[in-house]
Amino acid sequence: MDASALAFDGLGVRFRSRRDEVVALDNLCMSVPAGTIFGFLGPNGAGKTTAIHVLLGFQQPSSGSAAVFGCDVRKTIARQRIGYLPEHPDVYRFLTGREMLQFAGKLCGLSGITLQQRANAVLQEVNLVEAADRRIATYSRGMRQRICLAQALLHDPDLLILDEPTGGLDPLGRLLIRKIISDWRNRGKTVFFSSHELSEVELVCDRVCILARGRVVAQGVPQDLAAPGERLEQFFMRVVADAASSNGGC
Amino acid sequence: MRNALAVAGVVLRCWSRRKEGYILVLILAAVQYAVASMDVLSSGGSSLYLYDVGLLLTWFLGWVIAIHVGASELPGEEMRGTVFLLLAKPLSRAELIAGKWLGAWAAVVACTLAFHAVALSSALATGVHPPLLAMLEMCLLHLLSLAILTAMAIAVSTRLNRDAAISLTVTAALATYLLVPRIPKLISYAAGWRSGMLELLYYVLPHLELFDLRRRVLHGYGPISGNVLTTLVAYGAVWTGVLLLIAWLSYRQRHFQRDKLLE
Repeated sequence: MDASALAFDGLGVRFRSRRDEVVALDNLCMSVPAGTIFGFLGPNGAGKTTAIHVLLGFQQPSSGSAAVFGCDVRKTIARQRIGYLPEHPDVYRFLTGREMLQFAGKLCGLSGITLQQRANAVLQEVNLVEAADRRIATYSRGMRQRICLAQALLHDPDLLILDEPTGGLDPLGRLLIRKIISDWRNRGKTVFFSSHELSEVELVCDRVCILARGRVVAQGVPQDLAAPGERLEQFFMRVVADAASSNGGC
Repeated sequence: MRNALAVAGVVLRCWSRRKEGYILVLILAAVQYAVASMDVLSSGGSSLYLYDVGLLLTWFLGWVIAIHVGASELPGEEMRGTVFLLLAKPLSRAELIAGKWLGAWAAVVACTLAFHAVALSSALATGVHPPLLAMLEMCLLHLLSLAILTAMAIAVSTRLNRDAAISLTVTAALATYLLVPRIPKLISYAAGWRSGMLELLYYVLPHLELFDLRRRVLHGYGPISGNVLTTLVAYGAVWTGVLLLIAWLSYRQRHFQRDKLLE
């Protein structure tokens, strides 16, 4: 396996409108070691989702590049090794949970018995076996989140990208996500997730990167970043406030 | 191709579970029944009139469903946010466009064949026996014109929301169907650059009227020749391909952002 699961090299994203230009990401340089759980943190509008969108090809960078396991993200094949759970997941409500997984599996090159076995395994993993043959329209929000997570896990990806995976979930749902993330790491996979839940991040992440105004303001092992006696949340508030003041405030 | 087929399968499955197509078939059947119960012109011609109305409605409803389905697919993915799930898979945008068109057209074909079946069965019930071969040619060309319309709706919807895409495609399709055949007559009234513009439009717009064989079937003119049919099929396939190519060119660099990405 490559040393880094994903890498951003001088990544810049600018949105131009008629009136002005907004810098969403400014010369972002970072890499995520393979086999780690990596927390991608930042306040709203810091550029976390933009960076994830570049990784998945939804957004073209204005400058720099991004790679997944050494493969340029602009190539479709780079996404073969990625499982993705979006921030506001939704699925085809006219399909059943199982049909949704079969569709996702076919797009990832699975078929036949392998696809069925993988679908059953991930349905079990996200506790949706009993609801698998019901239409997704009848699912609760938490169940939809879990079926979306199931489609991300289906093809056994090497890199799992989760954008705010615990948003809107009840404590049991959060526990399940945390367990899945830990299991994934134990299997040597990489998990890259953005979150506002800093207590969650502190519990599961090996490394974190904090983004503010499109720039990396801190990165490393959570315990090493914070001063003695300081919690990650306090550290986060401090560096984000520093970044805001150095940029002339909000 | 495998990915495009998977996308097409989901489009078809989703539409088969929606009510729109079934409701349109019921509306057509109700209109046919209402027309059949009327004694139009107090003559035996009413049976043919019934089939004429049936074919007109079939034509119209085919257009409605093709534009509706074609223009709804890509904007629907964006509205739901499922486009993020799809494009995060190893699925190219060309495959997505091809799959969407194929699935949408398959749904349109299923609905349109049901419309034709309703129109034909009511005609047969009232003693009208349209020439079989001409009728099959008419159906084939109707389905081809719907392939063009579906591709046109998809191409337009790559850059517009669903409602705007439907409005624009309806306008373009009606303008093409109603105005393009009249351009040669209009050219005789125009001069200079206007004449040149009209001539250009005549050649660059699709001729949807060529796919309309309803009059031949109704008046028993018999089937068209194999060469003409082959040329029309090729013409329809080329137009569909061109529109899908335009859709891909428009969609391949499309950026997807959350609504509040910059907030």
